[in-house]
Amino acid sequence: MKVLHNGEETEIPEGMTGIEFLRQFQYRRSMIKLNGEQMQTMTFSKVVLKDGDDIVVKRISGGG
Amino acid sequence: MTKTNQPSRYGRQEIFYGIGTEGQEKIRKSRVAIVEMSAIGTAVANNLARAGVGFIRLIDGDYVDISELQRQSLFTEEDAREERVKAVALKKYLQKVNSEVEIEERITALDGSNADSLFEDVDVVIDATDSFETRMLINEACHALKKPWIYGGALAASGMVKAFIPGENEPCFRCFIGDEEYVPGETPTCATEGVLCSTTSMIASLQCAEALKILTGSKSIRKDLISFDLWDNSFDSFVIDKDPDCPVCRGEYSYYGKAAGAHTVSMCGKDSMQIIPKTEGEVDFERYAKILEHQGKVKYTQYTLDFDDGDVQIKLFKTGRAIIKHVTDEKRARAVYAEYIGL
Ligand SMILES: [Zn+2]
Repeated sequence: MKVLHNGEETEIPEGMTGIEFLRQFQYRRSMIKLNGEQMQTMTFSKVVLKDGDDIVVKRISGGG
Repeated sequence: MTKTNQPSRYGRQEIFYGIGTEGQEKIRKSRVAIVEMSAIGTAVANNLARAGVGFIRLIDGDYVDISELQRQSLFTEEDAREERVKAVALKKYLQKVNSEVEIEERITALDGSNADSLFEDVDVVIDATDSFETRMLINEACHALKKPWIYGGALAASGMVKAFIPGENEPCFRCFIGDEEYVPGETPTCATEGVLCSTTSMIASLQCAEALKILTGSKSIRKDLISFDLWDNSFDSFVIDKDPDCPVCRGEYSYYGKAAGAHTVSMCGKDSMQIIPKTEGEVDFERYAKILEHQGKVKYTQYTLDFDDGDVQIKLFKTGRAIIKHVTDEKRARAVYAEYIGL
């Protein structure tokens, strides 16, 4: 199935959960929005993603 | 135009509805500390000096390197060639930009034991560091001292900015970042993913706008966190909630007030290690130069002493802190320090 990942159409496996998504794209320390709604990492982790979901994940930036 | 009808130096700020002459006067009387003269730090210092902030403290223990000129906008090739101490080079530049502003250079790395002396007499602290540990320390110190501070972080083309304001119901940086353990090598950095000068300039501009709001007592201080990416053209904002279990909000600190002891820190973007002695003192460069000149080339200024024997290169600061160049192994760096300077 296809989701929007930071604005880019991305193919992910059917039934993928939020935690699997974060692991797949190696996100740690991130801010997350699913379909425009901000979510805590814990909440997002348990979500089963659906075709067409709009996922925004922003890594917390640390450089100066 | 005659001298009498010339617009005032800050005229364009004074006619701006958010500042006015009253706001400008508050800016003139205000004091700001900037932690690290990085790409963000130099841009912030430039903006605030031009805006007429009365006192600016530049906190940095590093020297200028050629690899930093791409983004650290106020340094020159000559600064890099001479390996000038960043806080000193920047102070000289800013004094030419605005002689009305008092610029104080503090050639040191922020740590748990010196945070009080660096922050207690300022109105706002600006974070321009590249270290999460230093940010945690800024957060704790500003919580303890009840000072507002402005987080700014860059990575590649993306950045984040958030002002943390002291207050019972206000979240702190620890509320935002959570308790996820920092694992070196797992978090992407500007050294591994690069960074654009546009990114750091944007962050600095956002931080400075928030700083001016704080200094003028504006009610428009942004509550949420701004997140942007200049390459994928995104601009987002995130709400940061107060964490009811946050130890910092309860006044339990892990960094602030703690004497660090002798320790070693790797230098971001430089293949070097920094050794910070347990007790910082006042090194007599003349005496050290005489001791070291039998073993290699020595030159010193009032701020730093450079030693090079063809194998080992050391930049020693007045306080005893030293940068061991071209060494990335902690044990090797400590061994070099112990051999040439003494731990
Ligand atoms: Zn907190």
